[in-house]
Amino acid sequence: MDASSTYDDLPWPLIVSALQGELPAEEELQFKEWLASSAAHRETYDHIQRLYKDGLTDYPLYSRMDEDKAWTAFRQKMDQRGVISPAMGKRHIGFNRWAAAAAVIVLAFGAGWWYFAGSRSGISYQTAANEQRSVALPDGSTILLHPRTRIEVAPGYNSTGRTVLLLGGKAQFNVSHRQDHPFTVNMDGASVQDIGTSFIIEKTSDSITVMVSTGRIAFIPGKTGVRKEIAAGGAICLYTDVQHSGEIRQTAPIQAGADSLRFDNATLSQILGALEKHFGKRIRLTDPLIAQKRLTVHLDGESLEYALRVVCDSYDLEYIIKDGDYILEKKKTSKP
Amino acid sequence: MTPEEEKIWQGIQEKDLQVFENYYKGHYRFFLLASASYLKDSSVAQEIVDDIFMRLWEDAGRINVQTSLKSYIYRAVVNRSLDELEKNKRLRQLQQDLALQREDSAQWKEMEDNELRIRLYRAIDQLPERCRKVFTLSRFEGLRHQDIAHRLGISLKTVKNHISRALKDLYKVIGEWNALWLGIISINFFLALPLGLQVHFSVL
Repeated sequence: MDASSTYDDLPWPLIVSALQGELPAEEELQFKEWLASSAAHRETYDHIQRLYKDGLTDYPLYSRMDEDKAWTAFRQKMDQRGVISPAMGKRHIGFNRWAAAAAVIVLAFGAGWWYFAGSRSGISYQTAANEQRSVALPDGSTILLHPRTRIEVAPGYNSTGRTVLLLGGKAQFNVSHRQDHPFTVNMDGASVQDIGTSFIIEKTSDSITVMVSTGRIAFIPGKTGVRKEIAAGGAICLYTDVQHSGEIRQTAPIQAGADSLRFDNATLSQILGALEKHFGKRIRLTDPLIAQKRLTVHLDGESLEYALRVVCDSYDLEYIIKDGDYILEKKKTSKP
Repeated sequence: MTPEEEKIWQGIQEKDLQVFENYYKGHYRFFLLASASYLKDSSVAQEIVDDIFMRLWEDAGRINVQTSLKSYIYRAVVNRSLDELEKNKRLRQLQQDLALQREDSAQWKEMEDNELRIRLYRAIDQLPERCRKVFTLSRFEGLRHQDIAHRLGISLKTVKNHISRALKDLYKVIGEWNALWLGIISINFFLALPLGLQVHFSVL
């Protein structure tokens, strides 16, 4: 019996009701029969019960953790303690007339460092919940990280090769094509090679989905090594547990259309207007002053509530629902 | 130390702030969770993790890391957490219990358990949004299935489907974890949480 059938064969709805102590009489009978039919069933239920009740205790704490905020606070402590010398790259430069010249020097130095030192050690990037981040690579390629995504740019990027490791989450790659150094995204179980293109990859715990926006890519599952080329508008999903990939599906090319919820440097009023149109709900801002603030965010496929949370988190707002309308207002209290 | 860790450690010793930042962010949850599981106080745990990292940065040139960097920091975090417990007289007995427990359980085992918890929590984060919402309402807010259905405007069956999907994913994580570390069937492992709570899982 393979692993997936082991998982799928369990009577999950009964188990879920039993865990919560909500088994109706007729289901209770079924559940007891299932338990009584084998010692393995009883053992399995015991494990799931322990997992559910005892194994997840710290999740609420985990879900509140934020690496970026923690690092920012830690950096302040380092500054207060004076353990970072200017030579280590202190970022705060006074706003004086030298700032512009200094910025040019820093940029030139930074570009050089990126080009040469980039080949010395891999660099990781990750996003927290509700955060999106754009990463510009030295060859002109860009990667837009969706929330909860982690990538690593491999050592020697742009000198010995162009490899990026997608460790988890969802990222959009806009690749500048180079014949001599193909751009490769490696993941557990598969890799994707560009042939001059932009594409999105979503990696979950048990699947890898690739959607091609423009150009072509080659999709190579690690186990078989069989290369499949996918053109613009195509998508493929690999189920990594069983190393089974589905057929290439044709979807509409992914681009900003009339009803797209992809916003690049759009004003808040434009974003809320598009959300209103898309979801057929009224959305109001109590503070019109922030309507012209700008945001880059991709919300395709997300629920209205999730989209509003992303917007609110970006501007320290919160939303309430009143008479069916969504009202965005300044947060009354900051969360600890 | 793995070659990757050696490179990171060398970067920290050479005061490469970017390397240090990446390492801090990449392991923050792991160490904070480890400390908080002893202290049950995330703010104190945060202080401890920051203190350890501060010392690492300041004294990197003088610190001799024998085994692995992660293991070194983990040991420092746990020891500091136990010291913190000792400061609090009301918790002295608990500290003694934990010290006894630690004699019986090797550090690598605790680190693996901590890593497994991170994987489980990451798996919860990776659930589809609605599924995660339903699961967390059920497991962490203790809502009854009917109440969740009412609150979210979905059917009871959908609630159960979401929780089933979540549990199945989490159960898979356990199976993958066992397969990763042991690779053979019928080997059990213990997730020995502090405070004497022991959870026992078996390989699928």
